[in-house]
Order: sequence, then structure tokens, then C-alpha cells
Amino acid sequence: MSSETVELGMPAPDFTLESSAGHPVSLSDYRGRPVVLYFIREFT
Amino acid sequence: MIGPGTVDQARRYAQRFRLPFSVAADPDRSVYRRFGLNRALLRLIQRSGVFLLDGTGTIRFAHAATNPEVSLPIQQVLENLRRLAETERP
Repeated sequence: MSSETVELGMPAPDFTLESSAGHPVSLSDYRGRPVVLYFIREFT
Repeated sequence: MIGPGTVDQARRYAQRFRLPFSVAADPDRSVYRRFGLNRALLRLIQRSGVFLLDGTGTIRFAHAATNPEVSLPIQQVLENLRRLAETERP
């Protein structure tokens, strides 16, 4: 299993995932505004 | 917010904590890996991480953690967010 790295100053890789809102969300939907991306450790 | 589980789990999580934003589900953790958040300690623990992006999608702050106790450095995130908001202001 490979793990890629992202770095400061680099563009964040775009992705699309299903969401709790009932529709897919893409990172690119948020272009034009600052984004906080928080990857949690687990759903508890 | 992104969680390593199913959409059902994401929905329950968002409801339980009454989150005012949607929670994305990454069941195979492929997006975690793309952000360098692999599993650690014999792959038993999923690493967490927080990234701040500016309006162009550029990463301006990054923090990854294996230890759940330090999974979200809130003061650091807030400081960087404040700085980002100032530079993004038109």
C-alpha cells in the first residue's frame, strides 16, 4: 500500500466522496474560499 | 470533515454531534492515503490530520497525528486560519 505525501505550498489533490448530506462532495466545490480539511481518526 | 467509514456512519456522526457541515465518508481510506495519512503502529491506528487550504486549493497548513491526544492542535489551526482569512480578504 503506497502512501503519498502532500506538502505545504502544493495544490491539495482533488477528490470526490459520498457525504452525510446525501450527495457527493468534491474538494473542488470549495474553490475560491479557504477550506479546513479535517481527517478524523475514526467515527466514534 | 472526512471519516474513515461508511456514509451511514458519517450521517450518524454528523447527527450525533449536530455538525453544521457535511461529513464525507472514505470507506477504503484512499483519500487519507493521498494526503499521506496512512495507518501507523503495525497499521492498527489510523492517523488523523488537518489541512488548511487557501482559495486556490493550495495547502497552507498541515498537521498529521498518530496520537489521538494531539489529533487537532486547535490553537495552531485557529492562528493559521486567522492569518489565512486576512490574506484572502479582498
